[in-house]
Amino acid sequence: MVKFLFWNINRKPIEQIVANLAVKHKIDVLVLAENRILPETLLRTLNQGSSQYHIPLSNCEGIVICSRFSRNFFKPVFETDHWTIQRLMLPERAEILLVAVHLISKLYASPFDQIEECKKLAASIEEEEKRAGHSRTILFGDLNMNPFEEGVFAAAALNATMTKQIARRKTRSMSNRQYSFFYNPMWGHFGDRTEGPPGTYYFAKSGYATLYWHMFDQVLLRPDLIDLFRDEELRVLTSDGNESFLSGKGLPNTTVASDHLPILFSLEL
Amino acid sequence: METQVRDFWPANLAIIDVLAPVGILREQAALLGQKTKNLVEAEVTTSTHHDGTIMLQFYLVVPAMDHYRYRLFSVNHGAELYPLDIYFGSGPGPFSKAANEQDFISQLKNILSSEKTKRVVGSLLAQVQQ
Repeated sequence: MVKFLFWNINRKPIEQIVANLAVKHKIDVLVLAENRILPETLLRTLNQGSSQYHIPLSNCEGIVICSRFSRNFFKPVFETDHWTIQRLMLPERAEILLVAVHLISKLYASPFDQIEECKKLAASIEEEEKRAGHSRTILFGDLNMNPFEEGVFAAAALNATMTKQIARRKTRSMSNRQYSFFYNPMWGHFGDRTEGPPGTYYFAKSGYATLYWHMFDQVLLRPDLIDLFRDEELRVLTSDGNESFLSGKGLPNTTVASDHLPILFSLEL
Repeated sequence: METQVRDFWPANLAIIDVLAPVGILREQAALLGQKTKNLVEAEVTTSTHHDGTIMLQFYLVVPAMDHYRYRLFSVNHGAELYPLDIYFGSGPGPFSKAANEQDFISQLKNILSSEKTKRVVGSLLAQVQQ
């Protein structure tokens, strides 16, 4: 079982909280966005106990990966400042493509720009899948879009659908082109009828159309990884075991941690 | 009776004194390979938005690392070439705008000689030479 944790830490110096989460959940691959903690500080804090985290090679400014696996098991293949695509080659296990992202913000980009960026990302993933010779791809991070926005669900963008059954069709055809599906399990984590909070990010803008809670932080899986993914292991976390990340009103408490909540998930590789 | 075709087009239709951004980028991309003994190369790709916006992407490519690619920056412009938007770094919006060719060249110089570019190219060279 390989355990992953992603968190947009909103430039906060919360390395101890990150380390607490890493220890508590025995995280193998920890991925942060909006990180301003120096790599040496982050590693020193993560490695206080018996853990031995490393930072694999990457030139992506927007994402930092820390892992208990050797750096040699990661191989970056395509990067921008908003995403990194890495081949994760663990001994005696099937290789996977790991795509960690922090996509452009709604504050500075139009919906159109966000969709275009997703199309470029989708095309890059397909290209790297062809080069790798497989489609065992997991994508996660802060997409700055909800699962129901076109950049995430549209065929020519990330094509991430809400059910395993549809995703298992592998592709959908549009205008004589085949588009590979992702399965997006985050659909099942909206609102009050879940164990966790209603989303991963809260923003109450003025205006008639306000969602309040958003699910910007997501994990998407290609059909070839669905059977290795356990829905029950996917959680939006609200505490590191010591402190709650939520205020008394149940909203992300930015005086304690980030304006985003971390997501935890695992793959039985 | 012979009908004379009326031609309203100007004689100097094809003459413009502006270099297209893609040409400027390709020129610089070709130079990187020479400077690094082709250990780190650069390439420029173009694509078109549905709204007609042209997107240029400037990649660093490392042949010896199984053709690892890194998008150093990108440029968006319309049919009129300028003004254009430059996206560089992990900031959420455009890094800068260039009003005209001279402005673009000046900003391109800044990007290519920036600490970040030097760091990334240096890091890639170090990895290849290990």
